[in-house]
Amino acid sequence: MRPAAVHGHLDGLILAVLEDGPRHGYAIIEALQARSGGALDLPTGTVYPALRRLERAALLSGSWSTVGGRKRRTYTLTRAGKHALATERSEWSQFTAAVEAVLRPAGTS
Amino acid sequence: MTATMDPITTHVAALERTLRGPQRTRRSMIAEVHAGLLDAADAYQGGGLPPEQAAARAVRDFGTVGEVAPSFQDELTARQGRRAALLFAIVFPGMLLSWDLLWSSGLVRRGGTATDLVVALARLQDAATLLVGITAVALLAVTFRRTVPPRRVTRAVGLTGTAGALTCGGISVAMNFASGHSTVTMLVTNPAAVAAFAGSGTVLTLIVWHAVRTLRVARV
Repeated sequence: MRPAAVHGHLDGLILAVLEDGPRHGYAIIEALQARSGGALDLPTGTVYPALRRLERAALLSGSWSTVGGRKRRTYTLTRAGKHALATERSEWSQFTAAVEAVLRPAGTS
Repeated sequence: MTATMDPITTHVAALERTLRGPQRTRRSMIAEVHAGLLDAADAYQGGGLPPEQAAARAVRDFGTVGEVAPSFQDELTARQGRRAALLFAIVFPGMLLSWDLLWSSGLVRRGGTATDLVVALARLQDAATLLVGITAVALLAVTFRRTVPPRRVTRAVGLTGTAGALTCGGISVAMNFASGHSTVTMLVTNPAAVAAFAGSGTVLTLIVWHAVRTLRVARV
């Protein structure tokens, strides 16, 4: 998938990955790659500013923790984040339904 | 420094050099990225790559400084804007309230009655302060929106602070000139007045400094 196409949806993808529990930066990147089967090919460096942006918008809350001698920043979905994720999901399914309907070859149903 | 860290440390340092904005946030972001790159290198090593290659792969996956720095800078710019907006939202009304308290407490006293001009200027001062305060709060709210370009918001915050400080400072000077003789008398006889004037001057200078710094972060 082209990076520009993914980039617009990165926020929603990150929110989804954090749905089942808090994670730190690299674990989020791993989860994004694993869950997409490697199809999402973004520079990993774009994920960190996205996390900070989501935190700034109060959709995530971040905190530092030390595990194995390494300090990492862990992010948790806030309640507002859960709402935003639900909104992203419904907007996405509306969007894809509309695009599919238009892309479908004429004469088929 | 081990060979494993070299590509990562170099890359992280190169990224940090391009960034401007609140120092604590900047350091926090860089530390986070550094840890993430080390994690990525560890994962590659776990997959069998030698340390140097693992680090190089992690750096390559990360993206070049040119690719990723703009997003990092956007966030720092946004934070700068938020901080400045909060500062202005508090300090402008705060200064007005402080002066009101000073006058009404009698600590600072001006002889004679105020002329129409001085009264009008005082009302203008109230209005200007209120306008700055409301604008700062509104911009502070905007910093919570993900999709608004940070440079634009932060530039607006910087302009608000600069214009506000120059306007309020200018009105104060005008008021004191319009009061003429009584201002001089007050300053000569009342140390509290001198302290209050000095304090206001200092605060306004700090505001202008912070506002200009904010504009610079927003690359104005």
